[in-house]
Amino acid sequence: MRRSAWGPVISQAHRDRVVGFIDQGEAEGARVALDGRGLTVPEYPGYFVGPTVLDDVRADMGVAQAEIFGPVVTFFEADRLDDAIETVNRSPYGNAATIYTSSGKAARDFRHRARVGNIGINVGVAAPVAYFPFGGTKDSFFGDLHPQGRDAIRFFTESKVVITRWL
Amino acid sequence: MVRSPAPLPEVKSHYGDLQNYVDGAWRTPEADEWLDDPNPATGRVIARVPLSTREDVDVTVQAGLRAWDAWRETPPLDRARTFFALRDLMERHAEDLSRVIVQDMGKTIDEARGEVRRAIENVEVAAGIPSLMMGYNLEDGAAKGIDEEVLYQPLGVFAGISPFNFPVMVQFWFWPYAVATGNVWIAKPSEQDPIASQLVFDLIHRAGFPAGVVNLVHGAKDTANALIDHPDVRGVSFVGSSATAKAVYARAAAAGKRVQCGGGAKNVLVVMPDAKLFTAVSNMIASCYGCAGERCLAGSVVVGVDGVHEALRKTFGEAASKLKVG
Repeated sequence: MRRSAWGPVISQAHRDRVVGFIDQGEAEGARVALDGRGLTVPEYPGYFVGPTVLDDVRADMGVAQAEIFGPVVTFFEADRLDDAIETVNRSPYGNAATIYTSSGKAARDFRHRARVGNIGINVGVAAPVAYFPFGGTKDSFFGDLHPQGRDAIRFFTESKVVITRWL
Repeated sequence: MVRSPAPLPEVKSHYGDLQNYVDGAWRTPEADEWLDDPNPATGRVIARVPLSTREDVDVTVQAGLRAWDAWRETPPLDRARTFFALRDLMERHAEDLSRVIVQDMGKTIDEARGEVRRAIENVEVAAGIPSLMMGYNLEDGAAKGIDEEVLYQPLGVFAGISPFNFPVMVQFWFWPYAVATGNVWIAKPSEQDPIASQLVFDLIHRAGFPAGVVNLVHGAKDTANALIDHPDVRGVSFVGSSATAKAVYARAAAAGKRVQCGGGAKNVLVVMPDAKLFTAVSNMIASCYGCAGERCLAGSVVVGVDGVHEALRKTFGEAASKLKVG
């Protein structure tokens, strides 16, 4: 085991699936600006896929909507913040979204309108700490009370109401 | 992103046939089907995992039910003390846990240490249960001379079904709160990287949780369904793909159970023209490529707004191609 910045994906089947998405993106007309498909690692014959960038992606492509769950990033261009928020909101998923900006107004607008459960403002992994609930909405969460924090306490307990009159 | 020259030693090179932890003891399940569990970096098999049957699940639920009465009667502060003990044990064994995660799941050692840290934090928060679980009351709340109050009470046996990408942390989003509030728990970790759970349950055992309060069953889909369907399991916590999350939600809800199901994601990173591009890109690289993208909070769509796109794709592409692999 070596200290490194990059590990394998979980299985051969998952590696094939991730590579399949890169192939699909290419076939749909995306440009493979950085290609992780051919990655091999000396001494480690396991299930590696390298960092990949799919550029010139359009909203109607399959790779634009599917969860790839691998090191593949798709690039879009937007004219305005409204269009970027639309990209977030038309996704069937609703886990997290991040805005990088120096503008409080843009950040506030994004926080208010993006339909996801965890918002990052200049934070790329909006992971709630243990005493806050792990948000999520749309196809990213089914239920009402979330993991962690006060939500978890409520999920695991029944509210019992007692009304008392001493005679 | 510098590669250190010294390889980290493996905790063990093979973990043998994994066992369930039921009623305070390690137990080989009745399962007649077992899966090989490979190290994803090498493809070499490092353990065998049993696919526990409906009977194995039932034995575990019965142990949970037997333990529940005494555990719910244990004062919250005493329950909290067990979590303090577990917290100290986890700190002491955090490095071994992290290395097993690397070996079985394939993330990097820094990512594994981060995962273990998150798990410990949930234990620390759950140790505050006497404050977290307080109800509320109002004198004369119902009418003059009639008081009204709310108590929060545990429900019984809960089950947690978790995915491969965080083999330790996801269970800790749930079970410390379930058990601290006075319920009992059955964990069903992913069959793709189940080894870390063996270490976690060894620590749970040593922390002094009474027999039957926290249990572990190994298995895949059929084992998960046996837990969801068991009439004495009162609620289910699940994380996995969206399709499975929705199916688990529907199945558990139709049986009248409590259920919370996390699904998949496709997270968007929006870059405005006034962003600090260099720091934003290094932050984005960590988001998109950490854990090889196998995170439900990973960035996977980048949207450059209003002219920032060209500079963004260039800076991002250069940073991504410099990542060290291995």
